[in-house]
Amino acid sequence: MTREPKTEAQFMGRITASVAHEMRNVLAIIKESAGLIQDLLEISTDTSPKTKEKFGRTLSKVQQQVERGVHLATRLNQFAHSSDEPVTGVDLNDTADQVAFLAQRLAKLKGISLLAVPAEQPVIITSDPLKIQMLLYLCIASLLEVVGPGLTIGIGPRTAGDSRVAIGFHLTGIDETTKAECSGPDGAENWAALKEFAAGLGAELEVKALPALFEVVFASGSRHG
Amino acid sequence: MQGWKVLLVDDEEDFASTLAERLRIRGMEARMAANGEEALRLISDDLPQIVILDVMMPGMSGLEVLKRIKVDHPHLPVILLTGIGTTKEGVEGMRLGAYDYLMKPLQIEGLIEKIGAALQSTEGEPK
Repeated sequence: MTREPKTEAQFMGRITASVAHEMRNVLAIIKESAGLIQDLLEISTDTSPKTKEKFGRTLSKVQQQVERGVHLATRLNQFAHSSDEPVTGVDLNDTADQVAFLAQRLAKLKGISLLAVPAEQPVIITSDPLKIQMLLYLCIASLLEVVGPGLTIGIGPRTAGDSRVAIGFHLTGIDETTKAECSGPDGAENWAALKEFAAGLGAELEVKALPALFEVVFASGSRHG
Repeated sequence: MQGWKVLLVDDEEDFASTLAERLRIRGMEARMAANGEEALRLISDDLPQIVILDVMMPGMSGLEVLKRIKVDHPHLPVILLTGIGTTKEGVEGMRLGAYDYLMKPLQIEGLIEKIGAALQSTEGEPK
């Protein structure tokens, strides 16, 4: 039995998940229709090889875009479900991967790439999955203010010992010239607000020396397991 | 795959009719049902060799249809179709006797391979 949404976030998540599910149904029909055209072309005897080839190329583009749409709808659905439980076990490897994907477009507009760098083992905390994603998204948004184009921001969770876990943000592709052009992450306009938001989740922001940028450290005693 | 008798059960008519046509091009006898009741009627009228069943349908759910199929035809293989939000139902369906589940959108080659494997696994079993 599906529980009724109790909060605005859960309501929005429920509707978004449902629409994302329907989007996949639409994409499934487009995919099968493109496949059927392909099948019919293959058995057709009155279509010239040149026309078949042109159709084939166009259908292949349709198929590729369907796959892209399916991937987007799947990510959107996963994101929508993150409001299902206010507090639950969260694997930061999955969260980093998800947020790197969701913020990809924002980063691309600034000429920056995002790359999730998962730890070998799961890095689990008990927290609000939606707020953790929001925190990581805000971290990325603040870094985009201070990092120049052409670089890659890696997002890597790790177990930091003493029951602490951390998510590190670091740069790759940086040389001495670009290093001089980067201001510290604490130079971002929303740094103070970001620190406050992190504190609400029992986390602290620790600025590091380049090419590392900073770490979000979930301190002992906060809502993580 | 020539002559394989397949029943497709999906309320998305455009999806089912297109997929059925693709299976027919490959030599299969594909029929369609738009809901659980129609599926059970078609199965009782003319037993297919395999059922491809969507889990999320209005009225009788795919899992309910599966349970009813398994009462009268325990060896009739059923492949479930799930979406992103319904993989749990796919796993539950396998517990209830489904041969396997596939996520929509499908890869036609993957579906055909799965149908072939399912038919091979139940060869000689009474349906």
